[in-house]
Amino acid sequence: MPNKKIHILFLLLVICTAWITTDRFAFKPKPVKFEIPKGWPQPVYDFTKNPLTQEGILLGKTIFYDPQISKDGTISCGSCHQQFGAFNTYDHTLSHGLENMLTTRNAPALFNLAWQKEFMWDGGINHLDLQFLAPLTAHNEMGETIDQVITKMKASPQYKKMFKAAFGDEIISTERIGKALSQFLLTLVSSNSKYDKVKRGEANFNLPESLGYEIFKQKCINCHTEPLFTDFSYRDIGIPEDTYLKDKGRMKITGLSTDSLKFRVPSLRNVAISFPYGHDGRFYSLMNVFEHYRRNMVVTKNTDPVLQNKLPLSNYEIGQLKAFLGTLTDSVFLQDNRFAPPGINDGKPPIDNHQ
Amino acid sequence: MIRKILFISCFMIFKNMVTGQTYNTTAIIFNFNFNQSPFQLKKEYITDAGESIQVYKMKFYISGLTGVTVRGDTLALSKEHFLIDVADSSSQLIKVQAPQLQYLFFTIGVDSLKNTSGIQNGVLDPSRGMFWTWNSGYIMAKLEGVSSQANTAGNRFTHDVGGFRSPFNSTRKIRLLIPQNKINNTSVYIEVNLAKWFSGKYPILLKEQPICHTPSLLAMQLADNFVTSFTTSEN
Ligand code: HEC
Ligand code: HEC
Repeated sequence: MPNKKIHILFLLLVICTAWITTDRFAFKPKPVKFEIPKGWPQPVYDFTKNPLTQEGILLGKTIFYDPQISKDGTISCGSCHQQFGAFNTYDHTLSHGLENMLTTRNAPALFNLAWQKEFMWDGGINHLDLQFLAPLTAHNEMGETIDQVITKMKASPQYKKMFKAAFGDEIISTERIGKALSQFLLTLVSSNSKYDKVKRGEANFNLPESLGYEIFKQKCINCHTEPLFTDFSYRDIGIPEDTYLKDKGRMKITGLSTDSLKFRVPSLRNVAISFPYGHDGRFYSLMNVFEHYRRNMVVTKNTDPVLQNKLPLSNYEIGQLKAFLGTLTDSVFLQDNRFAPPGINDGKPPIDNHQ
Repeated sequence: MIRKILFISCFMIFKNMVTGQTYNTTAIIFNFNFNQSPFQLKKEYITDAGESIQVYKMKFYISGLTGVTVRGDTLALSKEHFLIDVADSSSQLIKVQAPQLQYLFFTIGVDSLKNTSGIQNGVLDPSRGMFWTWNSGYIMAKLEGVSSQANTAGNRFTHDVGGFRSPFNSTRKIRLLIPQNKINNTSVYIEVNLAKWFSGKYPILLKEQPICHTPSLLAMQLADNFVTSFTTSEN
């Protein structure tokens, strides 16, 4: 009776399947909807591969602020990416990593990463989930291996619980760490500056701000494009190479001499508080940046066509531009408790104890 | 939900009953040599250019395993990526279901989609040390060791070959004819001559080029050399 045999086999399979899947049924993380601010383009991050959940975001934030993941337990992502500086390294040209070794670039502010396709000043990293591997394993940043981090996390009952809540079981893997960190990083959306409120019709620019906006639209917008204030391209704005750092920028990734000294156009959101500026932090103030554009540029054949005659700016224009750039500061973002380190939530800069 | 489970179970049983595979298991086996002498890690060899080397690490990815049967049909043998590691003999044996094959094709390296779609698992997990973190992409093949000719700290040389974008795409296609002298051929022996890494097409001197860790011309030349390392044998 082959028919009977099939039936029994069939029943067994059904029972097995049900048994295997019950664990999955119990797994119901709370979905979080990713809001796209009005008038913004579609994000490039593929949320279908890593849907945001409360549990995933919380896990990501916990990892972001956990110094235990570095080799000697002293450096977290949050050590170099500080909320009051829009997640840059506040007031530091280069950042301090393990044993006070310096990074070779200025830590960029972190926000609106869902719209970014490539990461780092040279665009060398092609997916947000992968990004953490670079600081984690760099000897002058966190100096740790992935295997070690996973071992440390596996030894922690709290992490096991959090991974289960976020992903359905206690498996801790490179992929899950990357996805959890991405979930937290993706929630860092800055879209509540005065500029945004003006655009939404909730506020008005004062006179210097609106004059500054007009100048900005004439002189800056082809690179610092609205609404993200960057077009994500790589350009040479005539910053001469630092003879010690010898950083070739985009050329390091593509190997093309035409990409020498090109760096990604940074967003100017929160720019008033994310000093110092430039890929190696050489500009201490906005005034230094303006001086660069109008006087100090070293124009070469790689320098952007738009800037072949430098970028003339009068003192008057600089004043108005500064007023406008001030409207890009998003204090709601800078003080949002959801992003603050666990336990600290006033969003104020700490007393800086660096020499 | 129950209906869904019923459906899947039914489907799986019937799939197995109807499409039960009838092919033999074919073992694909990688053997390493250095100009025909058996290869061992940490043992000293002399390259064709007369440089002395000891290899500490040698690994490479393969993907896109495809066979052409004696009847001329092309058959995808596996969708997987494999990481072949000289230090791990279990990685040097790949089993596939196939009828008798005449040709074996595969790609050295990792599919470009896997280089651009975030973090992968298994042998493609970046924790395997075959991934560039600061310039996203897999190291397709690496050969590392020491050579008294290498003018570096500890005389170390590091040849990490990677890059998936033109003009520095370091993946390479391999086509091997399988010797047909045996009836019921169920093993394919692939001989990998590591001496060719330094001399297969371009002479590479460790004195001059001890380090490769970017998608670059050197990586392209090493990849072209490595292609010539592969032959089949009749074992
Ligand atoms: C030692 C300081 C330091 C630590 C620790 C650190 N970062 Fe960074 N981060 C930087 C610097 C510097 C850059 C810019 C690097 C470059 O462009 O090459 C950067 C860049 C980034 C970027 C890319 C931003 C962009 O706009 O392209 C992201 C995302 C980021 N870091 C997230 C993290 C995460 C997550 C962690 C923890 C796993 C972390 N960082 C740890 C200093 C640090
Ligand atoms: C040709 C494209 C281009 C134009 C036009 C341009 N910028 Fe930039 N800007 C860049 C690039 C690229 C950088 C990063 C350069 C680097 O660090 O190597 C940058 C950096 C900056 C920075 C530093 C930001 C930071 O976080 O480090 C400020 C501020 C700035 N630009 C303001 C302006 C203003 C204001 C204008 C108009 C007057 C302007 N830019 C016009 C491309 C441009």
